[in-house]
Amino acid sequence: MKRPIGMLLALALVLPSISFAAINTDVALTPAKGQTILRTQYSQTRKGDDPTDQNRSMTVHAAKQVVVYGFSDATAGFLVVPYLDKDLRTVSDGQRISRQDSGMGDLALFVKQRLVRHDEPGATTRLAVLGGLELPTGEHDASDGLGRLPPALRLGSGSVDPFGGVVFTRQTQRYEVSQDLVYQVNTGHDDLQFGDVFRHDTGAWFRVWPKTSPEWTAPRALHAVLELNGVWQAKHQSGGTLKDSGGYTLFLSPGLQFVTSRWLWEASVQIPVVESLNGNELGTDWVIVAGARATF
Amino acid sequence: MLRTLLLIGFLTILLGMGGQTASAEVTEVELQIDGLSCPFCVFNIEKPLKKIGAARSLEMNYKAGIVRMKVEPSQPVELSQFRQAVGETGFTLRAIRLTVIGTVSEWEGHPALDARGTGQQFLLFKEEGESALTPEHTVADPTLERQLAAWRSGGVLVETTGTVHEHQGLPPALAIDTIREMKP
Repeated sequence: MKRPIGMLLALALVLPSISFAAINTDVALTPAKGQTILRTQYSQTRKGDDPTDQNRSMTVHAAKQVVVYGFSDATAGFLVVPYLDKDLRTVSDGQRISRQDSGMGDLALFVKQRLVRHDEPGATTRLAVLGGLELPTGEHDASDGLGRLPPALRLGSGSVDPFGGVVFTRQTQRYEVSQDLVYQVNTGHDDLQFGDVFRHDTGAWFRVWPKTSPEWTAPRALHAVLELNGVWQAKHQSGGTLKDSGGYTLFLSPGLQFVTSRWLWEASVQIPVVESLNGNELGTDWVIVAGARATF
Repeated sequence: MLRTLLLIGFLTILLGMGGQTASAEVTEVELQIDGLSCPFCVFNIEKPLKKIGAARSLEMNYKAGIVRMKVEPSQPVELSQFRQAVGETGFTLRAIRLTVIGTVSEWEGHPALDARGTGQQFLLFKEEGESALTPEHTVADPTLERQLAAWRSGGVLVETTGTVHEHQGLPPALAIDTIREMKP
């Protein structure tokens, strides 16, 4: 399994880029100076495929609000506020039990700075870097009748975690390709340090309607979207390495976007095509995502 | 007495008309913008441009990346406002085309247009040399040159549309696309 993962990672890094303000990443959003983009997104993640006899499964409902503000034509500030509802079901002593937690997750604050811009008639190519912090606003020490919740069920990491990355975009009125790479260092809190996370999002959209760009009328378009979203995480540390943690998942994510000059509606399904997880980590069955964006 | 009152009335109307004409100079601004590649870009561009006081109406050709604005008759047009507004949206302003009403004049021997009202001056030319524009650049069209001279000596009001060229130390220049005499 390691070889195909390595090849896919290399491919994702080398591809000239695919992924517009893609559906499954926020970092490509770009407002003008003084303008704001609001994105609201709901997702449901189903995890299962338990390699143990505990028959575990987990469902995560997430409602994410993203606010992006243009400080200048080249600099934008991002605030990401997630609300999470997690439900882990397992079998213990022959009894089916459910462990749950819900509430605000860890806020993310970051700034994106554009370094390169090349505009042509009806097309643009841009390269930007980003950096920020994930703040410990999500509950990380909750317990239930069975004791402290396991790491996968916690809403936050309990630590201030810096991250940084790079975003490349090539966009025309007909299609867009883009690539982002983001690395997050998880610093740890008390007894647990989540493993560092590396994400790469490669995606593309292609305008399927209308066939030609409108001229003197307000533009609106339907985009077919295809993304490859990869998440690699190192093993967690808690007085040693937790063997049932971390690994790599690559999702193939087809989707649709309907966009007007102020509004955008989008939906996507993420299907794991490569999954290499450590120990008895639960794998992802699927993720569905739906949301909207507005600029004002 | 009656004749005096009629004369005052006539002069008042004439002055009023003069005040009206003095306010209209640049009637239309067209911006050619590079980088417009998504419907969201349209709103990004329109919002700041609509805030410019001179813009009376605004329409946009998304496919060609052209914004066309009718200008408020009472508002002066500052080219720097358009440059700043487009610059802040993160796109590239490739060219500005203006439609200007005024009278033909001269600037250091070179044909020019004095915009009606404010008297803002634009050099007029047809062809630009490889080096920066200088007054030596001519209209390069003998027929048009004669026509400009005639309009100038007659104080005729003309309407011209052209692309703005700016060079340090010179008035802004218009590369003439069309120029015609305004019917009284």
